[in-house]
Amino acid sequence: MSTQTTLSRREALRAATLVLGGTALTGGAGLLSLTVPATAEARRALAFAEADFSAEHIAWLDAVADTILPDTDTPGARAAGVGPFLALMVTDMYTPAEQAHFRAGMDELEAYALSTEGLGFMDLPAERQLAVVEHFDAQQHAFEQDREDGTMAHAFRMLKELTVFGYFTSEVGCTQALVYVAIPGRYDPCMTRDEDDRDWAPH
Amino acid sequence: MSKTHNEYDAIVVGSGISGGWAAKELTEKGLRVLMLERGKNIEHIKDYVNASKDPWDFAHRGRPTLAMEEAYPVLKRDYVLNEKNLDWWASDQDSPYTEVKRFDWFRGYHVGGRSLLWGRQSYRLGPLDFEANAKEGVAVDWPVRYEEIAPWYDYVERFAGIAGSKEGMEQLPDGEFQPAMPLNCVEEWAAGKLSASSLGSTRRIIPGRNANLTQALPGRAPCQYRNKCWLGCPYGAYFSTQSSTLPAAMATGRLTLQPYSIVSELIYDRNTRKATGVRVTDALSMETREFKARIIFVCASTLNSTWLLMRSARDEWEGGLGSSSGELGHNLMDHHFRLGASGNIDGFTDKTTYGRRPTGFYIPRFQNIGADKRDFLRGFGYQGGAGRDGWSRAVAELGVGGKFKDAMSRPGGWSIGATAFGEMLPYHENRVWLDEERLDKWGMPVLAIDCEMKENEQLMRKAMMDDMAEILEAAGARNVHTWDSGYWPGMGIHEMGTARMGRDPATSVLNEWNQVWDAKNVFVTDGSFMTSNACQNPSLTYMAFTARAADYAVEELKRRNL
Ligand SMILES: Cc1cc2nc3c(=O)[nH]c(=O)nc-3n(C[C@H](O)[C@H](O)[C@H](O)COP(=O)(O)OP(=O)(O)OC[C@H]3O[C@@H](n4cnc5c(N)ncnc54)[C@H](O)[C@@H]3O)c2cc1C
Ligand code: SF4
Repeated sequence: MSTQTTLSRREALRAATLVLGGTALTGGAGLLSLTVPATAEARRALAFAEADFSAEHIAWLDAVADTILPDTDTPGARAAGVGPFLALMVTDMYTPAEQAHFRAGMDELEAYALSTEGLGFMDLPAERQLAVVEHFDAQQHAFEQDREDGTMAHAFRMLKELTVFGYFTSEVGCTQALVYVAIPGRYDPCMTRDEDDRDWAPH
Repeated sequence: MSKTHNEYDAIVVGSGISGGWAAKELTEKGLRVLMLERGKNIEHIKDYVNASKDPWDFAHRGRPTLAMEEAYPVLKRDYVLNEKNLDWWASDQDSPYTEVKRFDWFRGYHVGGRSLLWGRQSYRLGPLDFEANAKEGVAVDWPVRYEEIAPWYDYVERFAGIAGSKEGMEQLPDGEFQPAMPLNCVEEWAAGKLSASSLGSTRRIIPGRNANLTQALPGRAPCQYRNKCWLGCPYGAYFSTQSSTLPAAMATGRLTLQPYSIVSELIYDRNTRKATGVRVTDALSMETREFKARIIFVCASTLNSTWLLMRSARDEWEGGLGSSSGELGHNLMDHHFRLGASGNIDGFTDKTTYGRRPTGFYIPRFQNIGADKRDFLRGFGYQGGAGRDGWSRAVAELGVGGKFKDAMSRPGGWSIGATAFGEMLPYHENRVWLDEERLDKWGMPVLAIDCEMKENEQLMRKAMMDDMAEILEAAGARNVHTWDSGYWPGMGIHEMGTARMGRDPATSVLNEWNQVWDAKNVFVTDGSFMTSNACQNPSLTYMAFTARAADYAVEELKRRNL
């Protein structure tokens, strides 16, 4: 009933509006156990358009997610396992059309990094990664202002939505970025808080 | 099962909110009762397997997947399709129905029915509601008035445990409440602003009334404010069959509960003009069996009970048991909703709430009361809440990076909003019937459903948004905006009607005691009996009428009238 639930539900519903059913599922929960190879060598552009999410793709998703929500005094998206979570959710939750749209968006982001920065996203220093992600965030934000209901979201909006959702519902997000109380035991309708106090975690 | 064990004093069909109450009342009054439930058993606490999981324990964190959407083509139409309690929803594929017009039928087929899943909002109907049909010449008159049902509301509220505040409003009578779950500071402030405004004499923000304990009852602990009720409550803190009526019935030693038992028809004896028992299809083995009883309580839920009546006594009446009036299956209603308004409240940045309160605020109906005259009949109430914006605002806000993340880990400003729930008139044309062309998994002809909102509801919907915007502005909110997410009948999950009660057997299916006019030992006490549907969440009313009918049935048995 809170606005928080309404908003997150609306996002979820939006992602689900175009569902027609009838998809063969690949990936699934097994994706979560994939280990991500750490590699420092310069790389070519990743092609996302067709393949299932590979370990490399997941590492790339982790890098983008971790730029959106990086380590601060609390761990960031990579530490919270957001990369594998994105791959799982895109595979299990998005329609084929939405999946293609999402992957095209990944390709576009990678191509943009290569053309403007001269390197693939993974090989950029953190502040250049941030610049790339800021570029796409501004783009999606503008796009979403007058998107019609029932049409597909900007691909980066989809990625950001899943990143935020995946992070703040993860164990790291709930217990470190936020304050998780499994069993509150009582209700205080008016509790005083300090300006810097973290918010309550979802349940 | 041996022949000697197929006779009982009473049979209760269904184990949801209504069936649970029937079983409790009848066993406590000394009857040997067989409760037949079409679905699986769910044992209190033991089978609440997801109740104590953390958010990250769910692979998709609760969200529906494509595979789930494919398996649940009806359930997927709203938030009810989710990963956390998927096993507690009826299979759309095993139990199809024909939608002449779109109708979202969200069902729970298992012991406890939707008492495990419900939102627990619990409000009495008032004098106004029972008189409306007669005053306006709509449908038929209710055969019961508020004064007659009031003591039964008292009775069920005390046992179920309803948290609420006394407000002295005639359109929403007070009850036998436990202490309310209070408004939070912003809601309280907004309620004060509203009350001091020019709207304040008729429109009020009050604490929601809900079936979650704020004080312990025997065998049940008070609410621990986790707000995960629909995964089952390990403390028994909200009213469900499992936490409340089933243990009471079991304690008598006179209840037999039989899951996987689909009642396919009531067996009717034309000589005595009574039902002698029921025919049951085993949901797993498909075998059929018969059970006999002196009285039968049909509590399979609205639509399921009517569906069962339609399958019964067809030799006698083509339309089934109770169809002689021509009203069986007609006058289907639901609450239309999914629209309202929201806004922001400035300040209070040093305030938050602790604990997850499993309710919000309520704004009782104010339209068509006193001087407030509208261009539609009846009215609506609101359910809402205020809270601080959480991390999910990060999606819509422009921003990425470390500072952004740290800001999103702190609460945002306060938002306030509410959703309206509106009354739907009982239209004869809104109806269900047997679709003989199509069979379900157990070989039963499915229900065809033809239901729509009409002009009165459409007119009301505009006011449902505009009035909320007006209230929020008077209550001190900024950036007020209205919204309408669209509604199709059924989505309210408050299906009612199709076997209405009335004063005349020529125009109603049931009499004032929930007895089928055509078979006096058959009582229908779920939402099917509702002659009109008011705008309050209805389950408390089913409880009260079930308890009253059970009391009457036992008296009638004693008087040898049944
Ligand atoms: C998410 C949700 C939120 C809700 N919120 C509220 C709320 O806040 N307030 C409110 O008042 N109401 C609410 N409701 C509605 C409430 O759950 C129902 O009104 C209530 O459960 C109806 O009780 P019932 O006993 O008539 O039917 P049910 O609880 O549906 O139980 C019927 C039982 O009968 C069984 N059955 C059906 N057919 C047969 C058969 N042929 N043979 C044997 N058994 C059969 C079913 O399997 C089921 O177990 C909500 C419902 C949902 C799903
Ligand atoms: S909010 Fe209260 S009633 Fe609901 S599950 Fe938690 S403890 Fe139980």
